[in-house]
Amino acid sequence: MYRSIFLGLILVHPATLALAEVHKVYQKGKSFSTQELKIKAGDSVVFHNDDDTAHNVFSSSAGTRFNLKIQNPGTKNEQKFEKPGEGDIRCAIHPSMKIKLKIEE
Amino acid sequence: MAKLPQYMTLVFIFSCMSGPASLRAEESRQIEIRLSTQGNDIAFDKKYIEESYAPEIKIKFVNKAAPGSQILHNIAILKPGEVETVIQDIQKLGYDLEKLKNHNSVLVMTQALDPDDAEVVTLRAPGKGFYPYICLMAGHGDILEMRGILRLK
Repeated sequence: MYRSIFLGLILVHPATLALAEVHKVYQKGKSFSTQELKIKAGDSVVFHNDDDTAHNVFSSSAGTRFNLKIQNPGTKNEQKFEKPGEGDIRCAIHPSMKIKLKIEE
Repeated sequence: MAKLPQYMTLVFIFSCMSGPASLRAEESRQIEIRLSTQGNDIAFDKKYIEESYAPEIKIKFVNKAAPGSQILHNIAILKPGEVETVIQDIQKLGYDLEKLKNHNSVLVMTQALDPDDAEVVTLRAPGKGFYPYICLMAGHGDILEMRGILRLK
């Protein structure tokens, strides 16, 4: 009985209730809408291509590696970041596009 | 004095002219690699090139991306079998071409070129073989595999 209550309390603890956030990044005029992004582990980022050209969002940094592949104009893709880390997000087509990403615990 | 037949004179003149000239041509030839400008392709227009070996080969590299596209390109000719090493290192260096300039695995490379820009580099390959070439702009060679092979035979 007490064990069940204890487990119940753990489950409703505010820390465990913290929901993962969904962040939005827009690509327009061949640039990202932000140059820095600070998120928490478990959060997701939706990359919108609001440009008139294709983009390819990726990160080759050790802690944040991913590749959304070619994203045509008007489309969006979501990327989840499970672990803490730091790195750069870039567009593989347009080298000047860059975001500093920090994923906190 | 006996007169030389006219054709002998011509042969003599031709051999004097063609000897050193053909030698120079052997030493330095010009090949050209162009980028595709079709759609959003991030690719060299040639993925495989065969050339006869020469101690010096001029390579003219043209970024044919559409003006205003902001798509920069470069080309680096690498030592055989060194692609993965160079990819790992350019990623660690944050795609800073300046820092990779004197890399042991890079034989020669251009600067980052704007659309419509061109650069001629001289490749001094140590011998015959398969020399990989790659664009080192962020994501081009490593993610989108903008690479090729130059075979010197």
